[in-house]
Amino acid sequence: MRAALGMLRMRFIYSLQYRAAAWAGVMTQVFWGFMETLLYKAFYASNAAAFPMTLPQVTCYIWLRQAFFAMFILWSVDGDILDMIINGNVGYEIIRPTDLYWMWFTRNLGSRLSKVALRCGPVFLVAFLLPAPFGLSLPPNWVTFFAFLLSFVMAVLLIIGLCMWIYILSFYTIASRGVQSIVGLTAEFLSGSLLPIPFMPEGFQKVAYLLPFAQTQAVPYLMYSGYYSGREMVMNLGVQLFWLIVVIGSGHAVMKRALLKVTVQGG
Amino acid sequence: MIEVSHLNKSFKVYRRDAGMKAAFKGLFHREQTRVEALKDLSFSIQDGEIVGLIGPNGAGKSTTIKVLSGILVPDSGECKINGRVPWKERKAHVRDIGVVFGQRSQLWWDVPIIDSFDLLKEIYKIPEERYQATLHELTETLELEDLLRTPARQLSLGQRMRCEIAASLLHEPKILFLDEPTIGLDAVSKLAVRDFIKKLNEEKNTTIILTTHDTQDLMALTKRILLIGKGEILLDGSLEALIDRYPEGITAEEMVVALYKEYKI
Repeated sequence: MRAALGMLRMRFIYSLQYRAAAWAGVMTQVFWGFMETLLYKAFYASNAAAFPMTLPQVTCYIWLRQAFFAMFILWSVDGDILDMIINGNVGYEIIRPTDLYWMWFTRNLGSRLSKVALRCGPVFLVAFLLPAPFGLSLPPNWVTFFAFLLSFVMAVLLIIGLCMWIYILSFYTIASRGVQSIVGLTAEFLSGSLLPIPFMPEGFQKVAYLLPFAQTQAVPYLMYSGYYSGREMVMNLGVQLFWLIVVIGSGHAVMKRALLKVTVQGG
Repeated sequence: MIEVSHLNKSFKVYRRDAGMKAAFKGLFHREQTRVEALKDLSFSIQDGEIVGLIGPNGAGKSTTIKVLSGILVPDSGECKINGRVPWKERKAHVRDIGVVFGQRSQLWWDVPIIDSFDLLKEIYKIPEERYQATLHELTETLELEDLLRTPARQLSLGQRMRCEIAASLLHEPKILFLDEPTIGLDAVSKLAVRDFIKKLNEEKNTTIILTTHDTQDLMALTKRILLIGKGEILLDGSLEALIDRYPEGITAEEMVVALYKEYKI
């Protein structure tokens, strides 16, 4: 635990070194969010009844996604870890008296948290200040808010669990760029980050909700605006928990095996 | 106490001829050969010894260190360090050892050295007072005072190597593995590193296993050397006895060359 907190702290200070990147991120997120809300406003102006979500639900979805952008991008992997695996510096990680899975897990958690901490403030500020249909409104009630919080925490842990799989696969294939780009794009689409999942064809939606990717973005954002209620809410939280256990459990087990087979090359 | 017996380790190596045709063929069929990195390796090292592993590039020195430090799992054979098998009881084992790979870095590149050290303190769960005392001592002996607040990327190689060594010793290991610690260093830095290693061994009785291509390192530090070639131990003995075998006035460099020739490695 002490080691994990230490790693979290290290990754946090590490990311704070990159201030310019943070400002650029904020500008992009705000601008993009603004463009997209305008786009949906135009769609809804033609026929609001034709859409599966209300306009405020959509704008909430967009702004939450923009604010937490850096948290949920699957391909925002820690390049240092991949380099370590490829060039053999991972040896230095193996000689530490810690569980490497959890060390890298907290390391990623730290870097993602720090990125979001630097970026989400200004995005939220803009989103809350914008007038009614464009901005971010509060969740309809406390139950929804707590369901969102729970869902959000699980989503954070799940995205890191998925990210860990990229590192684990890199132990087996030296060049992981290919895996990253194929899985990255598919995962991004299935997470509902490009298009909210309720807008997708019905059959497709069913599949998307069963896969772990939607659990990382679409589910918590839909939770926030009260899209789910009652049984649906509980069901979705259940599916999230299921994937959380599967992804992290299997990742931890496979990584243990990978480390026994690792070949540290060079020098 | 380190006891190694009949250790074997081989690696797969893929080979192909040059050119387009061979590359295309390689898509379907890869020619695979096994390279024996370690062959029936046996030796034992007592507490407080300084042992130099020598041998040409690719002889298996680094592989030996990686097995001893628990990074690589050998194909067969036994290895016990202070009663533990490194790759089976990894967590307990690595608390007892420090490792410096001269060609790699364990310091975080963009933040001041002290942040990397603080993280190691947490990783090894070193009590605060213990840590401060060790850090103070290392700072004095390795002259790190001005370096601690500088990011690793802005240090010279010599400065960085001193920090790397300090980083490996924060948890006061009983055994220190040094894989080419003086590689690329200037004369002054080399001397500083050597003096420090010697002092560490004398004052704390730390067991030191060193690989190096620098014969001066050997002369200055080690009493016993292990000559490794093609994965096998070819010679295990005292450095002095070895020098006596050769005519008077031979330099260490010439002696090593003669050794490599004698064993055809």
